[in-house]
Amino acid sequence: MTHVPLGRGARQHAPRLEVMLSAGRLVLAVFFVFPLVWMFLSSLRPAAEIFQYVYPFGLWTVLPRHTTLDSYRHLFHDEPFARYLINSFVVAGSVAVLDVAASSMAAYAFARIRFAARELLFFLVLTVMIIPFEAILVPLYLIVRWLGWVDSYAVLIIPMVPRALSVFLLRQFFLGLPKELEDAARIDGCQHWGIYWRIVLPLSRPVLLSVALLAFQEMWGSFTWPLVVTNNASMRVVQVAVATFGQGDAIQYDKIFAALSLAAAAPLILFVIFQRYYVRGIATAGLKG
Amino acid sequence: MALPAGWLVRRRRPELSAYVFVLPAVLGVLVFGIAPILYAFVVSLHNYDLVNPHPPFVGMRNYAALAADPIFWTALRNTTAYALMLVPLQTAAGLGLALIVQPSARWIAVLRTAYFMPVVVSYVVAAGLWEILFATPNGPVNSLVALGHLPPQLFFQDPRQALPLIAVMSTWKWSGITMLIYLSGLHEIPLELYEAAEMDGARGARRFWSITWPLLQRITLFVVVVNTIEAFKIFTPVYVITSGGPMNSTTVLVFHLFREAFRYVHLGYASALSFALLFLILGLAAIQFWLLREDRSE
Amino acid sequence: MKRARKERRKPANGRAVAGLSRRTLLTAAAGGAAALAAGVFSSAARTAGVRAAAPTTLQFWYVRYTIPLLNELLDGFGRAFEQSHPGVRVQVQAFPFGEYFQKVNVAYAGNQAPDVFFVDFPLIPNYVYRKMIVPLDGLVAKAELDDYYPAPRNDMTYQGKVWALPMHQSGEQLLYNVDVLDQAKIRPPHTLDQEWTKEDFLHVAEAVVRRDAGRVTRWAYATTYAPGLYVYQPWLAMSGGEVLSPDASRATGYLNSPATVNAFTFWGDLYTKRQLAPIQPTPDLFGTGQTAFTQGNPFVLRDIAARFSNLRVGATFMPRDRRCVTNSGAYHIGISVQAKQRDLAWEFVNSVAGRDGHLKWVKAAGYLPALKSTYAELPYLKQYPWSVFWDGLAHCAVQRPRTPAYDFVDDTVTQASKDIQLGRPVKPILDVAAAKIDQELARYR
Repeated sequence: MTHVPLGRGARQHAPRLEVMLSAGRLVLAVFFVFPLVWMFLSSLRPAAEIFQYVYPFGLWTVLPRHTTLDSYRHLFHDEPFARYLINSFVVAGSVAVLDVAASSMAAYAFARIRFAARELLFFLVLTVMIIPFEAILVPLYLIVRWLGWVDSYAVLIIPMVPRALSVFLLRQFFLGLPKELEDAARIDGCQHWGIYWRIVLPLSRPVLLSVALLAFQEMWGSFTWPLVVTNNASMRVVQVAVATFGQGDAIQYDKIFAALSLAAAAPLILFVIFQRYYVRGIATAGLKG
Repeated sequence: MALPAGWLVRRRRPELSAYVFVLPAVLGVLVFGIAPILYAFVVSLHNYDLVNPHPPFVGMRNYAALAADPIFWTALRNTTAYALMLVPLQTAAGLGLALIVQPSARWIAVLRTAYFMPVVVSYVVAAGLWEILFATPNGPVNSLVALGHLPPQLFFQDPRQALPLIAVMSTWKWSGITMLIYLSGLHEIPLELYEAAEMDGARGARRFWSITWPLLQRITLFVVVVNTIEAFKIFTPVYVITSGGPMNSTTVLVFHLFREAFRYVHLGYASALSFALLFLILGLAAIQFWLLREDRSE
Repeated sequence: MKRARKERRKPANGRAVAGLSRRTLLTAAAGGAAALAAGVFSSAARTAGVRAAAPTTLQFWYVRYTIPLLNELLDGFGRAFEQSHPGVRVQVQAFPFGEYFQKVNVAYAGNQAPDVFFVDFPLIPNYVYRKMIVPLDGLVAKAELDDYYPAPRNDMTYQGKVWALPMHQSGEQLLYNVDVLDQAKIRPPHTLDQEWTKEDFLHVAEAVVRRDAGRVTRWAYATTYAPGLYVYQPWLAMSGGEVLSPDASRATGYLNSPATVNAFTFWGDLYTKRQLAPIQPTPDLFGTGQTAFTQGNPFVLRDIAARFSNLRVGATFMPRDRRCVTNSGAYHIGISVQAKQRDLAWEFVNSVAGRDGHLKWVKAAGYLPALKSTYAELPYLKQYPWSVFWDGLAHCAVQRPRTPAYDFVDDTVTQASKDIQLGRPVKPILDVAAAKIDQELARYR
């Protein structure tokens, strides 16, 4: 089944190598998921138990001894947590979509069309990527305030588009596409729009998905900007809500861990849905079998 | 910028459509990126405290203060050390993960999700989680350490361990994304190339170095440039976990900037610092781009 | 969206995929644009609505509590004010502690500061220096002002003027695990005249700490909050240690004086040398019975009692040396210079922190009162364990340094304190910190 570089090479070498490889994969998986699994399992513990069995190490360090859904009940019962999730979803989803559209267009022009201000404009995009957000937070706030956008979805979405990183990433990919495709299209009478729409976008499906997922997860995790530009609780996004459990006089870790587990779930589900586009389709591989 | 006479007429058609293509993005970049940067430059010439509407003009004095500030130099050194740790670590991890999860078997799809999982937790949260896991002397990781009959480690409280540990944490957090980008790149490599190589008898490591690696170079460059930039912008874990300590071992540039700007409200100084940072990274990026040029002319 | 989803099941050959990604993109883009429009318009509508319905709006910001009851109480002050003042709308908004102060700063820059907001006690000098809050002299009645105890009266006053009203008073004492102390046959003092000296405390600590194969399995002492001046300054003050000169103009000669060096050494030894206290432990150490003592205020005492119902908690005084100590300070509530209707803002402040509001708040939150009249109405404060906190605060309060550079001073000394915790030589660390602080203080002279 695995008609792919390393998998095939390894299989043909030795079964022992394949076993070692699999073991390595599993060890890595434990390293990557353990902190999050621990967080999730902690969210199922009663408040008093969370740090009870941390030391010395034993079974109950990892597994909850008693389980309860109290913290989750609290989130949806005493807090409008569903509203926070929806807000985050609207914001992150809109940014992802608008960003893919704006960035892929710009990246196409930067990679494929010669025009006078190309280097300058690309340089400007790169500059934006480099400046730390903390450095422009205040002027950015003044601009959106001047636009009258404070406390709206617009303020959470529009200034975040395009993401310079997306333009940069897509440009790198478009540069790598073979020039012949474009020439062929031009013979067919396609102008730039046609080439972009009919050739480049379809060929770049995985990377467009990457860009959208990156934008989504980054906006989903964004915290400082929503905190500064929204006051009203109806505009609160999930990360800001999470922070309010985690700071102050009596930190409630059961609720934090529950809120965090929920906050982590959405981008994870998207990733699970879309990840099959990252590997060669089975149909294509089948042709070679 | 001096332009040759008649440039507008000569290239008008492709140019026009190019400007249409870049318009939405460039508009966003100008209004929400460049304008704030220019504003920040104006601020760097003043002693601004966020409240006073008429801050005193101080010329280049904030830049002079920057050059004379020992913490700035410490932060520069720490940030560079961090970048030197993070960039190779992150790149190797991302590529390695992409290669081992490329097969399309179902259980490997589960692994792919596993490796990607830390990406979906916000950075603030991930940092907070690591702080608890690596609490000293009685956190979960120290509990594991005790199983090996070793003394409790200081982790983030130890000037020698703190910065490397933050690099490991960032790698844990972000290598899922690098993996994703490499996966997209691996997807672009035509299978025929591997078949041809196989006929020539190239396998395993040799095939990796002769086909995969060269064809991934453009992406590797992207990954290296972006990770370098991100490394120089490292902030969140320092803010959440170490606050620049212990012994200033994790005082990095953006943390210094943030603290000066929002805790001590020295906005002018902080803006000067952000310009130093901007030029520093632009310089590094320019070097990396120059390498790209070389690559393209091949 | 539905159509796109159906398409996605098709075999992934080039054509179908091309069609899919474009359509998905289009559908999703339309959705995004709609959401955008909704956002823009809803914000516009809200602004218009506010203008039409309520000609006067008052913005009140506070630091969000983790206990819902307290947030509800603070929100309730807004609703009550709306009822007693028809035509006035109070927008009450709460933000997390970590970013609250940054948010206030940025709001000032945009001329959008809240009219009334929580001011943390140590930040008063900074807000005064930067002209962010208005003096309340002339607004607070003389009788009311005299109703404040000396310590809070002192806290709310800076450079001869009153700047904000305290919400409550808060001071930490030692909370102890009753079972652990019983086992060791130690009875911690409950009255101020019998309080432990720091040497007594050291003996007790050695008696209750439990070690197993060189590793501590139960600590003697741990703090509730992350280290900051609030937490460790009492340990310096008890032996005559100081952070700044009395006029807050310099640190050299005070932060690195022999008394401060000795006090810091004693405190630092609790950690690395004597292994009685953990440096950066997991949370809830006291609640889970892993430390015999913790340093906490009455609010924490209530919270622990509520969350760890099996734990028996007692309270005793912080140890003394040359003097008795407890830390002090609290959230205050003040009026922004950007408030358009200062009289109305004052009325609101008065409704929250005046006698009635104060009583209501202090009783619910479990903090200590700042007004004598409120103390008189809360008889439980005369009884143990509340009496421990109250007597400590009345007789032993230590005020934190008052300077516009407070955050800088706190950060710098705290960083030094962490190095001291790790057992590094105290004097040179404090010399460096003092010099750094002096440089910063020079800005404000």
